Amino acid sequence: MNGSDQTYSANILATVSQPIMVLTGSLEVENVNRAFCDTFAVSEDETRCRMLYDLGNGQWDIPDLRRLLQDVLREHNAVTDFRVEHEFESIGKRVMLLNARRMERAGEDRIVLAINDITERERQRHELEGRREFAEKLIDSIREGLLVLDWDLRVQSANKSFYDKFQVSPEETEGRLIYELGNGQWDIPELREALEKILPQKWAFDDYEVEHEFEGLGRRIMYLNARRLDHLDLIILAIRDVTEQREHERRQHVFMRELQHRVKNILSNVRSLANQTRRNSTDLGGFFTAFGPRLAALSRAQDLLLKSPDEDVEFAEIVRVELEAVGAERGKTYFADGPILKLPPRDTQAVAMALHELATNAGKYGALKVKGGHIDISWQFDRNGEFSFHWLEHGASITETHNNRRGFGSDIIEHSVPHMLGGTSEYTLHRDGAECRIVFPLQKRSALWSDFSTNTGS
Amino acid sequence: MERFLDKHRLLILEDDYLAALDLQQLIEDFGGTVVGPVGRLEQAVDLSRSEELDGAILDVRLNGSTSYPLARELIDKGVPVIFLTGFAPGSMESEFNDVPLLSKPLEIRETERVLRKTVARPRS
Repeated sequence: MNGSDQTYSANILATVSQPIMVLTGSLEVENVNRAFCDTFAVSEDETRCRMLYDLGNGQWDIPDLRRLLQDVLREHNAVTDFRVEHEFESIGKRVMLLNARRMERAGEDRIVLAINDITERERQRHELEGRREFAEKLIDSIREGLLVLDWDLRVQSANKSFYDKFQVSPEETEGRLIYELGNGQWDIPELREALEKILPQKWAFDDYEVEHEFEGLGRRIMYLNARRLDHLDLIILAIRDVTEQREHERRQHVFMRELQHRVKNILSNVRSLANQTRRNSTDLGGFFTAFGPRLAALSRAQDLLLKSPDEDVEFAEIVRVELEAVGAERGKTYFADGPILKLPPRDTQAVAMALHELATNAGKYGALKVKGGHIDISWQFDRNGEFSFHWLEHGASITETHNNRRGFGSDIIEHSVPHMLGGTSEYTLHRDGAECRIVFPLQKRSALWSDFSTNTGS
Repeated sequence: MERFLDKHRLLILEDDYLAALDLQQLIEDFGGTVVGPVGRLEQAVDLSRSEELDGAILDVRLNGSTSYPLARELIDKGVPVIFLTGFAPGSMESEFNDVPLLSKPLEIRETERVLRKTVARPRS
């Protein structure tokens, strides 16, 4: 090989943008090109005529490279895309694909090593994969149903929430036109309008409300959010099912109305209690003494109603609360006997008022006023759902004066239950105390008498 | 209190006994005669058919139903109707827009004003 040949090959080397190094058979660097020097931040002087493995403090002494040069190239004259990863002192980690070729020049071995530095390409590939993974995981983690659509509205993919919510499989979804999904049940006029009219004009729409009856799922109210991804020719469609939320709001609204109604009714009761008490009072002090306990009784009835989650209240509990409020003790000054029975709110309120007045009168003039006096309280219901309650005092001494004193309390005892629930109430004063028998029809709705009548046989 | 309801017979339908009693006494204080008070719709319907009435005060919501059917019947017969409700004004069926409304709890002057306007006949 002559001098002009060398210049010729050196010129070729110089024009190639890929790093190239030419080694002798003993692995001494004969030549490197400009691209090599640029890529590995070295000068030609630092490189030429040096042993490969000594270069830059031995940083080219790479096990993989040794293997390539010493083993592989002995068997093959040419090797392509031999991958080498190495941490260089000066330029950091590099991923390289090596193309090596062994040849003979002037009777000596020469090795041409072309280095394809793919470090940046690898980094981008990793980043891209990372982004794709991020996007996929993100989409799958979202609880809204997500559809990725092509421009022609075919489903490219859907997330788990979509499959779960609308009970379809990827096989019957991917590649299909959105309108064909689930037997065409996504062929919704509002959806067509949104995807075909709104989306082409704007690049997105938000909270577009669609109401639709789905087979097997029933009527659903959905909010649709869409984004056009112009660079990818894709559309992302997010579907948020707000059916439950709407139902919750509706219930909340009804509940608030009910609450307001109840508050107004309670205020109305308070007004009435004040007014009735005033009519039977001769002075403010007397008014207040009588009004306070009545207000407390009203409050106790509310407590009972709010305590039970289903608002039905056990009758024995009403008896206990009202009797204990006037200081009576079960087994000593009162005896209660009857089956388990739950009363709905209206019944509870009516019965609690009557019981309160009975207990108050017993404390003022009757069996709870005298030592040794007691009250027998019993109740039962029959198969027709008629409830009867009996109150019988013993040991009191009722005088003629008491008998003539029929005020608001007696009025409540005799009328509150019949007025509110139907039925009758007989209130009698005997010599040794009061007797009261209240009978009214139970409401089948929630009184539970039908359930219990078979169990208790009472 | 002026007895401007003298010789007037008013039906009261209100299922809450305390509220009914309160209204009854107020009407009587104004000189009126109360038919009832009753707490259940059937009783009120029976009374409205058997008694001469100069007006009716009806609680709108009764246990599980409303007093609307009775209100219609009375309005058709020319008997003045006043609704009584714990619901907020404006929650009434639109066909009853012209029916005066008393809100719970009762307020004496407002009750008097509504009764004078709706029920009271000019004195002869």
